[in-house]
Amino acid sequence: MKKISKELIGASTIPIILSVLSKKESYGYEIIQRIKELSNGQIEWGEGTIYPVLHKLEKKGYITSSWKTSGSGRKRKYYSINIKGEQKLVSEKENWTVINQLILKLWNIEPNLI
Amino acid sequence: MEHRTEFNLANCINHWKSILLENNNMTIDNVTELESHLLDEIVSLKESGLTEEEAFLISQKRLGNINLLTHEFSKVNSHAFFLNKIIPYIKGVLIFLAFFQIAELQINAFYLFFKPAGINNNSLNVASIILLIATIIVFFTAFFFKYKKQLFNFHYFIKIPVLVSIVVLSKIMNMFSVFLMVKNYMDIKNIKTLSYNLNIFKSTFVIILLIVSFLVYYKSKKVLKIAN
Repeated sequence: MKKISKELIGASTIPIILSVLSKKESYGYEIIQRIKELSNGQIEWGEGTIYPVLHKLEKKGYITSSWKTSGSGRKRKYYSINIKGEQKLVSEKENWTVINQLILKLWNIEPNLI
Repeated sequence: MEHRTEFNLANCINHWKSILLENNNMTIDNVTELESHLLDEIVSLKESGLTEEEAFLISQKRLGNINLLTHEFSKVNSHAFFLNKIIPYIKGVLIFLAFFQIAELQINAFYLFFKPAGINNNSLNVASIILLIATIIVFFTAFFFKYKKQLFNFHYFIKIPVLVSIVVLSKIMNMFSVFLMVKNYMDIKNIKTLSYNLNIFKSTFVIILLIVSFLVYYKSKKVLKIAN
């Protein structure tokens, strides 16, 4: 299975994380598992690198974090989306829709060049 | 067959954490978060039938190598990175100031203590020199034992608030002792001898420090050359 390019993954990280968090609050490991599962393993991040992205989103005020202790007594840092993050997600969705439609149109107009 | 020592997960995780913490651009909070991730991954890999050691190695690999992690974290932690870098310099300057203040305080206290006993100028001179040499020896011995033999732990002592209070307090006590010396004894000759000795002491200390800096610099160049 071919891996998706680094640049494309980089560009889509923020909308993907915000979308996962818009369903329910979550922690780094769970977010990664969710994405792996949904993309059938096609999207694979250096797992540790999700944290700097989460921290950046928190700094920008899109998400908030809090430490919680799980049933097994392990500490986990949970992230949840806030209103500013929801607004960001809406604008991200619009941007992605524009790009998506453009690509679909281009490929539908010229389906068989070869 | 090669004998393998038993795998200890807690030790391995602690070792991994200590390497991450050595890097200036990660906070304790960051490392705790990564550790929690690592543990989650280990649990899930063990459930799929891997041994603890295999699970640890794979989790570590999935999380990303330490260079990659520290590089990525440095982008968001530039503030912490700067603070961590600058703190050792500030501590160094403070230790330097504290050392001079304490040396001066010692001499002043010594004078105030022995002057009423009627000590003459000559013995005062000799005694103050001995005291200062002893101070410098104690300082460098402590330094040597800490860094070469790793015997002492000055961890609690070398904190910025502690160092600042030492500098400020000893400065105040010095001013007070000079005031007492002038008020009670008015013996300019003695005070001159003491400040003369103290100045020589300070210059000697600075010269030693400069020599040590050069030695450390050349040694580091040599070591780095071999490493490359």
